[in-house]
Amino acid sequence: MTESLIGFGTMLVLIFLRVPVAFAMALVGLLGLAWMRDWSSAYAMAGSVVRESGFQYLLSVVPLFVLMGNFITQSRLSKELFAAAYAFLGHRRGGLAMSTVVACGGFGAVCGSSLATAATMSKVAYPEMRKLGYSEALAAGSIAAGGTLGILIPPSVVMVVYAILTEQSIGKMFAAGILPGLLAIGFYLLAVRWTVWRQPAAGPRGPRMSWPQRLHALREVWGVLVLFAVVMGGIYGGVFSSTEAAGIGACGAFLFAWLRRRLTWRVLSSVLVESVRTTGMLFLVLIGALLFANFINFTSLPGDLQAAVRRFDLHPLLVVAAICAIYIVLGCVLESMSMVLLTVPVFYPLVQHLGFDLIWFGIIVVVVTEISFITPPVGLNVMVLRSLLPGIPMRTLFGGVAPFVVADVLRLAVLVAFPSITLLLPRYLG
Amino acid sequence: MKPILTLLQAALRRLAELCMVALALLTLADVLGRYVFNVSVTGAVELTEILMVGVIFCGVVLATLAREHVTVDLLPMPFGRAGLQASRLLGHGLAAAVSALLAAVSWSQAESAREYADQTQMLNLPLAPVVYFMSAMLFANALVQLGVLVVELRGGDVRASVASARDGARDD
Repeated sequence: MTESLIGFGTMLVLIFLRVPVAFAMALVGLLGLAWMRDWSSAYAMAGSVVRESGFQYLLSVVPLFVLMGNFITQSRLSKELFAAAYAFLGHRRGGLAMSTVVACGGFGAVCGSSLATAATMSKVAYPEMRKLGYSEALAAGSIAAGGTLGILIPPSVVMVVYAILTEQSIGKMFAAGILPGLLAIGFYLLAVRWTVWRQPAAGPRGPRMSWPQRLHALREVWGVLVLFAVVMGGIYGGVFSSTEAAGIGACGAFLFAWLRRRLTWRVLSSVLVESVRTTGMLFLVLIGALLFANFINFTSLPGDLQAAVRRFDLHPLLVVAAICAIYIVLGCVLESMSMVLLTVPVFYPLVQHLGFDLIWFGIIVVVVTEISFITPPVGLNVMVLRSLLPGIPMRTLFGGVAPFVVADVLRLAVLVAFPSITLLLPRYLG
Repeated sequence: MKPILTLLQAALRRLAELCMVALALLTLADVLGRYVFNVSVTGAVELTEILMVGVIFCGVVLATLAREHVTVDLLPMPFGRAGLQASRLLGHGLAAAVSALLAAVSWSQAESAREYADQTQMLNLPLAPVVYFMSAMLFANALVQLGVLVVELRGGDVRASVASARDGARDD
């Protein structure tokens, strides 16, 4: 126990001293293992971790889904998605903010990254909302919160990594994300309603669209529907594996961007290289986290946690609540992927031991990670918005996000209380 | 230092593009082949694995060049400029050291792959060159970390240099 606490402490100190997270984890993992065992076994372990994390067929979904998301981002689809959602919701009070949330959900269905979703939507939705007289807080808050849907609605890179770490089926994991994703959209819409109920001036009504106009707007987003249907339908129809689905999705997204005349050689090159860079960054974090997890598994921490739960006769739900609290605290200082990679290997044996379903726990982890995207001080989506919309003060941003954080916490409670929401679809799909 | 970094970046970008395109097309060809022509690509799994090594380890170096490795700059560094320089020295220095160490351990893996003549099952492709590539890229990453450190220590504001590096990377 002591060794692992020293390990965690040292790693956090290094991270705060601005050592890149991946290298801090790798260093502490290596030194820790050398300390627990000996140098030669640490050396051998590091070698096999690096080699094995390179040759991973299953993990090829990561670069391919990242590539798919980057092509989709490049094809400027966000405008049509927003227009379609606006055609149905724009005439309501706060309707533009609601449209933003729904469009983010639609974008999340073909993109596995929250940051990309928030960044893309901010360019389209923010100017529209401000033009209609929306408050800065509601406009920015709905984009930052809506962006988090990117990792819950499949495909999702965080889910892929979780599924691989815990040896769960990626297909089942994706299926599990669908209903909680819809629930999330519902709760966010309620958060918008609540905001405009408190401050009616924050989100004035737009003009009402006629049904022909609505159907026309809907026709413009066929590409998203087709791509989502091909990727998900292919997985659940047994046409191809989730790994192959990622490749098909990437090629489909390329075709889509090309048909929309968004691809020049230059753009193509930058999309490819950006995807490779993101992959390199993610895998280095993965290697660091695996080295760190190997060290933690040699310490008595995993056993001690289980023993503590037994000794104090803790209710399993209390343990899950404690884990969620730890995630929310860690999420305030750590970036999401490192957080998942760092903590899941420690927590999942405990959760499994308590008799919980690991697919369900995966969704809980993703939802808590989403919350960490928008909570101060490091909420990554909020940071992205701050850099894209430099005029808005930080306080306004976090103020605008607050109702959505409350919605998130309520949703988390619902998902913990009713696991069947998460587990219904994986029973029939995947 | 800068011309070497630029040359390295250009070479890595081409290789990275190639690997990424091949990775996506390979899957497409495999699925289409299976359903349309009733033949699947022989050794698609092992080819994917080898391309993954290309994508990941080119990506590691490219991410370092673009300063994209996740760093938490939440707490302000004390002692003003000296503190900032010290944190750069520590961050890049440790990253370079860990990279070099991982390069060394994967070099040993490559040596043993060569010794045992490890190869893939279907296509009998030798694995040693691929593992040597991993090691070489990790070693290159260590050097690039040091290069970036030198550039940052000499240059002024770190944020400006990060921003320009990123913009440059996106533009070209």
